[in-house]
Amino acid sequence: MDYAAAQLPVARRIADAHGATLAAFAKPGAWWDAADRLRIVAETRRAADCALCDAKAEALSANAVPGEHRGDVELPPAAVDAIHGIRNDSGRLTRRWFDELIDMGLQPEAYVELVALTASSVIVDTFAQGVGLEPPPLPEPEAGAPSFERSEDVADAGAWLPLAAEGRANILRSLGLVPSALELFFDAFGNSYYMHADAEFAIGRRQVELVASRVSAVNECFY
Amino acid sequence: MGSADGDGNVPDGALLAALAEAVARWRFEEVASLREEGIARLGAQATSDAILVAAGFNGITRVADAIGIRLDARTAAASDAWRGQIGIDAFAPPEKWAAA
Repeated sequence: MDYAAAQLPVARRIADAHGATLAAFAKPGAWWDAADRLRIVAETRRAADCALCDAKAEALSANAVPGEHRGDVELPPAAVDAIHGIRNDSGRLTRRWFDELIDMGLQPEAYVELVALTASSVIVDTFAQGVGLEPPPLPEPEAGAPSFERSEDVADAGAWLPLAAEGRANILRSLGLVPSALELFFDAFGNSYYMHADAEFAIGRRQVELVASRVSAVNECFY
Repeated sequence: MGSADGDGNVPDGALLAALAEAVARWRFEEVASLREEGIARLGAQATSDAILVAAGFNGITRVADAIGIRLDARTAAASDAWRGQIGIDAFAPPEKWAAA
């Protein structure tokens, strides 16, 4: 990815990682083909200007505001609802909300991949805009069918979905039902925290933790 | 150095907290202003890295909340004494995990 016009210096490894994430969006996935994966990313961007989401965010309960998101008609309505909820009101998502998506026909594995795509695109787009650029253009989709990959090496850890059976922390296990989704997300996230032994930042550890904590609080994330 | 204005006594904490919040809320006009302040006070690379961390956590918080993961047992035990005090528990009400 080209950060040459950014208002701040961006290390080559960051540009390479974010470029790889964009390229991965355009490849066939486990439960979505490449065109649908790119539609999910595009819908995540479109959700930034969703009036219904704004109204839901202002209400005490998101369920108090009826209506349908005007999303990409090529995506299932449950997928559009999921994208908007994850992008715009993640702190108030509930098991009941998730169950309704599944009842609408969204397969759990497809949901996991959608979560990875949505959250990965949030990382890449937020950083690009943070350093003064527009969200990067999306590549053309590659041909091919989904692999319908599903891990059997999972366990119930009290989450809405089974997590990877092994892992140092629940967040690292969270997308384990679909290993390629887990890989996609943590390849995008990996440079944003101490995920690698050689991770270095030009701010100190306590400053990194302060930034992380502040973002978690803004997003009303308990984890 | 840190101060007593809610920055956790972390060096340049107030600026970093403001930058993190502006990034997380996608208020990019505010980010642009804070970016300039960051360049002047922290340096360009440090400001870039702060935005990188904020962008990453803007994504990973969504994964945690969209999968409905629980707090790790070790973390829960270590933080039990202060989670309620600082309000984090309010982000994990029982209905988050309650089936219909």
